Amino acid sequence: MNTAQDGRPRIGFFVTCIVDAMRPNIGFASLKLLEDAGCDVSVPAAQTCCGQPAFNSGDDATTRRLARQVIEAFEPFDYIVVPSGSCASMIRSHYGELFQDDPDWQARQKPVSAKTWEILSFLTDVLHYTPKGVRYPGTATYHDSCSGLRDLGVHDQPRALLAEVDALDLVPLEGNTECCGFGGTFCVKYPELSTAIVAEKAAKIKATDADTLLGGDMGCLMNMAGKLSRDGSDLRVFHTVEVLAGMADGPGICAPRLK
Amino acid sequence: MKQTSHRFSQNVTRALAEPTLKLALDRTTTLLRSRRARVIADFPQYAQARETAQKIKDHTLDNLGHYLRQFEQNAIASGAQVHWAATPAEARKIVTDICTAEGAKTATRVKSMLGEEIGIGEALAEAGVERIETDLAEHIIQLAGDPPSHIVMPAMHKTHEQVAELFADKHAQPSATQDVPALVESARRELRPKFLNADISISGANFLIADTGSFITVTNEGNAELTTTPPRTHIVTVGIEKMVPSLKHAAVFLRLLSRAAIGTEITQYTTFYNGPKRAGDRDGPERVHIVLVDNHRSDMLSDFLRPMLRCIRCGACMNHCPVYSAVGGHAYGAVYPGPMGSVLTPAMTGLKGSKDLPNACTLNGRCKEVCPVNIPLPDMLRSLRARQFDAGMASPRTAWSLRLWAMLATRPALYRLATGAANIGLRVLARGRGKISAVPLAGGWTRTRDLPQPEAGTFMQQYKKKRH
Amino acid sequence: MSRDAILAKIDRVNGKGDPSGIAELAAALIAEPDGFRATFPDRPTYERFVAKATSDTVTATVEPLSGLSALPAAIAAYLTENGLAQHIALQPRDSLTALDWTGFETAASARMDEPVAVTFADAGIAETGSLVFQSAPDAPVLLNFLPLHHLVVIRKDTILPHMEDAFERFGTLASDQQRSLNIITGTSGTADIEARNVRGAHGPRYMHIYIYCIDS
Repeated sequence: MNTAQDGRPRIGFFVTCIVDAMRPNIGFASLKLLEDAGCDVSVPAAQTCCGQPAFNSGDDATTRRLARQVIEAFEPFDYIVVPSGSCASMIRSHYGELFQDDPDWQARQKPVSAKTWEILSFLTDVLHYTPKGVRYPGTATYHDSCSGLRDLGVHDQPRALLAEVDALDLVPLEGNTECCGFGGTFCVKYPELSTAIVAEKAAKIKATDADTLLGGDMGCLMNMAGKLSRDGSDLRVFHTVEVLAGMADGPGICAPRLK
Repeated sequence: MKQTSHRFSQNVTRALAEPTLKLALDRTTTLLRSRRARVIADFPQYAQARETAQKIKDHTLDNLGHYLRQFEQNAIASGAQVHWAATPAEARKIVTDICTAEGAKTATRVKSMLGEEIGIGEALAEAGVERIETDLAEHIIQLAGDPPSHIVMPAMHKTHEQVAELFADKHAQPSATQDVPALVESARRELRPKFLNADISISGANFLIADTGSFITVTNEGNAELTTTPPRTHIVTVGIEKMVPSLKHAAVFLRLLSRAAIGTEITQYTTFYNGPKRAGDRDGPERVHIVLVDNHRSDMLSDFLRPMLRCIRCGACMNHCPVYSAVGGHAYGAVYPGPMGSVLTPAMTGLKGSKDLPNACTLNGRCKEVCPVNIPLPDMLRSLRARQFDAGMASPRTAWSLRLWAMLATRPALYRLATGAANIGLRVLARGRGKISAVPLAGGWTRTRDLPQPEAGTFMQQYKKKRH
Repeated sequence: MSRDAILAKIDRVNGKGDPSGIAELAAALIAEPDGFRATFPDRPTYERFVAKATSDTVTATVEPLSGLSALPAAIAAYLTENGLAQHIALQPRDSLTALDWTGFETAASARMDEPVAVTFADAGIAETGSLVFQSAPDAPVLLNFLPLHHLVVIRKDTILPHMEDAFERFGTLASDQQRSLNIITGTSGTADIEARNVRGAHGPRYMHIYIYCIDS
């Protein structure tokens, strides 16, 4: 492993456009966890978005431009870590489709894809990290976001990490592996469908005893939190890293600000 | 059926407003999902069976010309007549010509999606033949005048209460109660005499066996055998992709089909047909016609849609699809609904009339996960979007927003300025309440959902401040 | 002609490969069937068959017979127990018709609302609890589908482990095939209304299987 001179793995942190714009706390929680786990973390300034909105709209030319930007910014690192299964999967599982006819870029893309990780699975599977002395008093339920679950196999890792958190009870969610209806551009292109799907999800979340909803993807969390909030529910919604880093003491997603 | 895929959005609105539709869908999909999960958990060889099935289909598609010729030769040797149809219109003409030559008045029919695809109903009407649907669900929708809404359970959109009302209205001796067994009994009474007196039977086939010239039907009701045995002529319309090399290869799929479709190890009735009745046989048709239909399957062979030809029509993808579960099959406005239909409809009827279908999907991947032959449905739907985009079919609003977004996203410094400005704008809209209930141009989101109030400053702004 | 056009198009895409190696490739794909089918190494074939046939998904009942000659008495008991008249549609196979049916009214074909038919299964499949019926001049197909009560007779040593074994028995070449081969697993059922399972949809509602040994 090509590591920093002090032996720590060098991480390029890809914050993702949604976390950057909407909830930086997820980014800072991620940095804290990675540094606690002994990583040397950098946040390259030349990052914006992984290209997923263009990719899922069928605009492969634009996606390629963004993919090249990501590859250039992140190829120097040992690992690229992303606080989202969906964006990590875009880089890890889908970039390959973009450069099939371009051997030069394919040669650069392949190693970048291979060293890209979703943060929760990276903490567990690569760093073998266990949170220590973290407390979150509450009963939480967990939604498994689709790309992380199906493209990257993220399922047991967040549960293993959360099991180490004091005072936290994790209760099962019926249909936890079913889509929440976010789907990136889907939620704005087909708002009625997206609403119907998230309404069902919100009902299942409310049917648990949980006071907290956790997950690993800000897009999905924003969708579910937005629906729960509109329904008048006071469930707290956090990204898992916020809880693991002990940074879930502020308001949850869509919750009123405490002044 | 009349395709209405081009009105997908209106179809969705109507489906979401139907009071009992969601109830009907939930009653069925919930049971189908749990039964499937249970029967697959009880089958430790599932993963290998699935992989083997995929390999067999890929091998057969790689050698499709060889297997079609072998099948034809063996089917003819068994005494069947083999016809080829490049288009639905050709297939319909073959069927009407046979009916006319037979002087047929009535035809009993076993549900087949290929039959729906080619418009078998129209073909029979053209030939002046009364069509009698014998599958219970097809019987229900024939009485209701509905198109099918699911490929395995075409009446999935009906609650049992609705079926009871329909039977009370249409059956000669309807049941006294609304409970499901009584409704089934009522249909049995109604259909029984019709099986025995039809002139022609029409079915599809789940599999074609190249080295015996056989075709297979699977049913749970036993209606296929009751339909195809008494009439003097049996017409089979079948897609060319249903081929497998041999009986033993078919066994691999028979173990998967019923597990994926309805959560049982095998269907109650699996029948292998080999031409017309033999000398001395006391029942069976005198003539068997097999109509092999292409309808763009050979086109799909040559591009990224090729894996779709593995499909064995189990319906698992739609049973597990969040969009299908929300609106049912009719909203798709095409013969094949759900994820597999959103791939097949554009492939068979063109991108233009089905523009929404590949897009109205969250790409959550559950369809591929439950597919017994591992068809990469999300990837194919995504590729269809790319094909649409390249053909200039993106809506002006989408194209315009993508261009603006790409302009910013490929210029990180400019992007920082824009997200910084948006951060301020959204916080103004939130007015410190933690959430935003209306955003200009984002009504699709905020009509039904709040948007969180962003923190003060983007991550990149805050990070810069903290670290430098 | 559409045939030639379709085949030409397919050949254009696939290339016209060498047909000689195709059969070996196909055979290799299924060379190890135990990897992709349910196996039951610790259970005799017969036991597995009975367990599956009488499971709550297949819903048949099973009765061992001391020999084929015991069949008429067993059927008489079944009919009495179920309140049915002593009338049966009896498959016109010599081994069945040769039995002593005194006291029964028998017919060689089934009526439209036939209450009971008695047929001979040519094989059983233990993996799934299925029965195999090959059509023949003395094995009309409708007898297995029209009655409400389907009474099946099977010889114990014709119960085979898997579907593939049945194919071996009845031949795997085009020239081996009778008009039809029915693999029947339990009774006619439907889940078409709200996925609720109901028996006796179009065909039999009840299946009772008599199993006898050849040596008795």
